[in-house]
Amino acid sequence: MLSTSLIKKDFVNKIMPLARLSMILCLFLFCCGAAAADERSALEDEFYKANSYYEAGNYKDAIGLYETILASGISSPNLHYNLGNSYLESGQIGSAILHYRKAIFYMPRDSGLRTNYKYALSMMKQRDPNISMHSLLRIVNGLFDMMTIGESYLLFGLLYLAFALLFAASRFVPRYRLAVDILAVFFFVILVLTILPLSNKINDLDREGVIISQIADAKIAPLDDAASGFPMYEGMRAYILKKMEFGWVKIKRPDGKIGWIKDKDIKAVCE
Amino acid sequence: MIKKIILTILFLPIIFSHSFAEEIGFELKLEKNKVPPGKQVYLEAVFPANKDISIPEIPFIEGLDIRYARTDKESPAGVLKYIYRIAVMKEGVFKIGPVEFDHGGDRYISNTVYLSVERIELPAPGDAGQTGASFDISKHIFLVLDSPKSNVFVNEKVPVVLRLYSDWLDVENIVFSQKPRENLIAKKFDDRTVNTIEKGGIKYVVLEYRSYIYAATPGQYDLEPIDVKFDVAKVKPPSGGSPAETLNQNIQEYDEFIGQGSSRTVELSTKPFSVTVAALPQPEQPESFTGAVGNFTFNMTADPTSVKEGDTVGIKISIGGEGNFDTVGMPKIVEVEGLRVYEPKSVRDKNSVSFDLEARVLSYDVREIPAVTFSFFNPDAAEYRSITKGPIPITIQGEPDRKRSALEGEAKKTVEINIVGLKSLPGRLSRSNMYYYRSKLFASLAVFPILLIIASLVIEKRIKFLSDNPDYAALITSARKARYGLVRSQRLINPGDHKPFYGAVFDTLQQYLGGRSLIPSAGVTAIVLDELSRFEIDPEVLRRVKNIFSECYLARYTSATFTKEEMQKTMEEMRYVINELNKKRFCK
Repeated sequence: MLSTSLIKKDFVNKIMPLARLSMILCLFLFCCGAAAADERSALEDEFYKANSYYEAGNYKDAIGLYETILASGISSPNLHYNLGNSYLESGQIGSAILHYRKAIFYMPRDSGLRTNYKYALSMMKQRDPNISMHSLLRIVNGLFDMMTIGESYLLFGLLYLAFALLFAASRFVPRYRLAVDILAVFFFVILVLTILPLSNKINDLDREGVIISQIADAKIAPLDDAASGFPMYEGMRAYILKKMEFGWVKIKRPDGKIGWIKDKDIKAVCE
Repeated sequence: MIKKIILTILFLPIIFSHSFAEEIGFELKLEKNKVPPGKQVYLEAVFPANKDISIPEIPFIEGLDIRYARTDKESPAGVLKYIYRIAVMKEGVFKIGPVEFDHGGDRYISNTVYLSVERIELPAPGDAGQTGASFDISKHIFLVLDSPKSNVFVNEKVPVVLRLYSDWLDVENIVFSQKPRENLIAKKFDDRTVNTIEKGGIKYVVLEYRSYIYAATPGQYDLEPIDVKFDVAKVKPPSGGSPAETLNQNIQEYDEFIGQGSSRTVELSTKPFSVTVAALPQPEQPESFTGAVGNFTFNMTADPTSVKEGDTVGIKISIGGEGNFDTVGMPKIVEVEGLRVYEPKSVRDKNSVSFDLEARVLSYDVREIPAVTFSFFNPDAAEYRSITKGPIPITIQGEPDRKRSALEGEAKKTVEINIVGLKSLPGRLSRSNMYYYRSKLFASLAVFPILLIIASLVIEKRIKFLSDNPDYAALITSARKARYGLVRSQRLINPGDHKPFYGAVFDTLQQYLGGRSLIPSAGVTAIVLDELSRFEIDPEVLRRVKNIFSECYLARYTSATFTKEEMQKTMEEMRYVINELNKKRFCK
């Protein structure tokens, strides 16, 4: 009886520090979670408050609150959408298009977003130049435009995996090898067709910028007295090629024209 | 007294440093001591000790442009070489050095070298007959770089003419190379004309190349000499026995110069060329100025001028005259309500630029294409000039239905207000910039399908190899089975019950031998082991196999008893024979 109680005591002595440590860890995680939930709740309150400002027609304050949430490092597609609406209503087409573009990456099939984005584009003083593209590529690009980056990757990954599996399987089923090979080639062709739109999408996400000033004079060199190359109007898209420390950004228009503008005139879609 | 001590302490290091300073000599070496003007020559500064010496500055010498080119890293150990490029700009004998400088408390002093720059005169009549070793190609074929301007404004076009004079007709494969210079745009020499002139009784063919340069920023620009490389070819005699066509009577000299081959490559350089670029005057710069520098003409037309609401009007803006068309931008068009102007398409050539654009009429109220002002800087008059064209009146066809327009206006207003409303919920709030596709871990996933493909190819190849080599396949399979058999037998060693152990040993050996010799395992017994002798197996190994089989029979079918040591010994024997047989090829 005595020996049993000694064993129990020994066991408890061994276990207790571990149990205490686990409890502290749980408490810490709970506190972190609670803090995060508190922060999230506070940001949500800000969001609802900004919405009420918007509904009241106070777009300036709504923009201020939405931007505060973004400045805290938190974002959501809905937040960008609402911010886009606020900018649109306050007549800042460039910033509206910028935030719609941000939202489109996360919810490309949202009909409201598409409608407002199209409307913002129609308000532009000068539309982006048209780029000629093969019709097949246009269709595939259109398909990818309707998908988020995650969905695009998933589709690509599945096609890639299907091709690899079929290729591997065809090595070991000599009887059906021709059929499996044809199927593998089919998947490979689709895979190749998806590479360009996917890379375009990543390129857009990584380098795309939107002109937020009413007009930006793209110069041939990063100098104030350099000759003008072409004008960039509010809302126009451009790829950001290089950022200089002294306030100049090298840009490329979708039609290939290259120039230098001031960094205050353009904002990256994914900063 | 204290003052004296302090002063002594302060000056002591200076006095000592001077008394310990060493005078070290270094050598200046010229690549050539004699060069024609416009050519370049290299100067080496050779230091005896490979110390960390900064690049010494060669004092300015009028008529020579001396610039550091590179450090010779391939020089023998212990020698440091700094190489300078000297562009010679005028005739004379130039004294270079002694160059002196202080480094690390030591004084470095060089020797003096002399560079003689002599002009290459055009050969006088009758001199063309010089032959053999005295034949200097640079007296017969030479370059002249010419520009009418050396002081210009920013963006002003500086015409440059490069003439290649040759008293020999067959000069071919001409290649120019010019080093780029930051903020200085130099166009390629592509506009070529050919003339023939006679000078001093000698006929020259003159290949004239035209180009232009312009600078984007003000400053002093020194153009690097332009290197021109070409082949001097032998005359190809025409068929029919008629005499070969030449400019002068110098076939023999050129034949000797060209030597054995059909042509000889020659490389010449132009003189260095400097241009001073002044900034454009800022205070009086017109608002419509976009960087055009020259003396331009400007015109604007619109067609059609009678359109319906919603139609487009084509506008053509043409700029001609003289100047730098590369920097001529599209003149700004003033915004007019109801007229949307689209991005222009520009067409540029050497002497003009035109902009074609479309303007869509969105309202009946539009009455004209607004006036456009084109401003440019005229460098000859050193002043800005502006030309204004338009406005061009346009007529909108059809009577505007004011009532309808008012309704459309209302509808438009409604549309403007009724954009799709806000999202009432914030949605999933997450950290910004969490783009998983940018992570390396995510990218590494792409490797797995490739690994799958590679693995399938390797396995396929392996299967094919094994089916082509049944002996090797049997070895692998049998060896694997034998390994399992050995482990199983080892576990069954039990002094109390030896039968399972010997049964396992028998099975292991039987399956191994059957697999290796490609005969059914059940058929492998001690009796048929002699059959295996045809595989050239070591008789000693065969004997041991037979012994194991005999022990197995004894253990399995008699009442004999076996100790643990005996069973262990059988195990060792089986390990030995399997090892030995693994080394052997069973070829039928």
